Amino acid sequence: MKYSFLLFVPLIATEARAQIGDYDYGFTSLTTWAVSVPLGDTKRFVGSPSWTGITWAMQWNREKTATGFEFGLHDFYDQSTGTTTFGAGAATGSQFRDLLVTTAMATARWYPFGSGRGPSLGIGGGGMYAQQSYQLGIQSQLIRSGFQFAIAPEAAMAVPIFHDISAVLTARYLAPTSSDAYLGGGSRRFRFLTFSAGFAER
Amino acid sequence: MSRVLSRACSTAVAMTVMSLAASACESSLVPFNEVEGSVVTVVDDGDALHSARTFALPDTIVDVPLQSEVIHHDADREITASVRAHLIALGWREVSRTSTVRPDVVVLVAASTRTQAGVAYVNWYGAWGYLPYWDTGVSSSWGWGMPVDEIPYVYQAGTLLITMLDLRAQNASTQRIQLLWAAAIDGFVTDAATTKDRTLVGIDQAFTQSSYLKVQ
Repeated sequence: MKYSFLLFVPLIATEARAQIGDYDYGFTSLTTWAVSVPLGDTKRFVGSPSWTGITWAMQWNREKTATGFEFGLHDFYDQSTGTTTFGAGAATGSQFRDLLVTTAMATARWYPFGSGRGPSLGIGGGGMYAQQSYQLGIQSQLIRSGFQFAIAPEAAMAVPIFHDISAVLTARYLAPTSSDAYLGGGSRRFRFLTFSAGFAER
Repeated sequence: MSRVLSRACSTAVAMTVMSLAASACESSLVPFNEVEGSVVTVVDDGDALHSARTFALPDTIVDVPLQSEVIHHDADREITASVRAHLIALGWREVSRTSTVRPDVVVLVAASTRTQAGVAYVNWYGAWGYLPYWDTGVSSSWGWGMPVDEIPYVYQAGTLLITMLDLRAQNASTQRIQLLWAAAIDGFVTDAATTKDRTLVGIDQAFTQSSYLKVQ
């Protein structure tokens, strides 16, 4: 009785196969909510994950591949009270840190079981624009921004849930080039790992 | 193609709405009434600082600019006494103005009424005039040499500035007097009733986060 739900599995699988069989090629729009884990310089600036992120992609499918464009917006922020030590001093007070990252990339994906469904491997290449804000005390203080080139390898899983809509789960690593346009001087690479969930509509 | 554009437009609208919602959330994260000020210290943590042992400290807090009276000067002696006590506790030795011994550094305290970037105020000579600690030739055309990688912080009006200048490094060719350490106590200078106590708390914090000032 405990495992009676397993009786429904073949029915669900049959239904899924029927939907996959109906799946055709063409244009697909993917919209996902993105949660990002900061790495490297990103983690040093904002230690907590970003829960505010969105990606939107448009892609054109072929038999087992798809190419397109993807745009992303990720916001890392942190508020704390305490002392932060810098290379030439320290600052104490209420501190607010924000890193707003936007990306625009060309993408290529490979679907071993047919385009737009099942597991996939992909890579994106393009640009990343990051705006870094640091506020100490009550005044808006420092804002720096910079543009970097970036690549983003990814692994994803698309599961059809309706005739023309699939649920998509993606894990992506964003690796930008370095830039010295940011706070504190020196070279910075704002890397992060993104897990996103959303829908693909064809 | 029109379907593609239509879908792109609807998605763009959704992204814009989400972005605005996100930025609205950010703004509310900074409750202005709970902010109590900030203390920033900068240091040139090199041989010059570590070899300095003696200091001079005028018992005056100058207003920057002059006569702006941001701070009630009744508390000048108490505030400078706090700075003096911290330095002595860290192992520094004070040289009085009447002494024939020349101090290694001079510590100046100022209250700024203006919003300014950095801890060096431009009309410092106008504020302090000729002190016996300056070499001959020092004039209003001279500036302060700042530590490398100074935090580029903007101070609001009502900031207490404590600066430690290296009297052994007055460079006539560059017209620079090297600043070894500075503290900006921001948001503590408010009104007559609370300024003194809040400022003393800020001074304590400035020295707490400057352990490198301890004489070796």
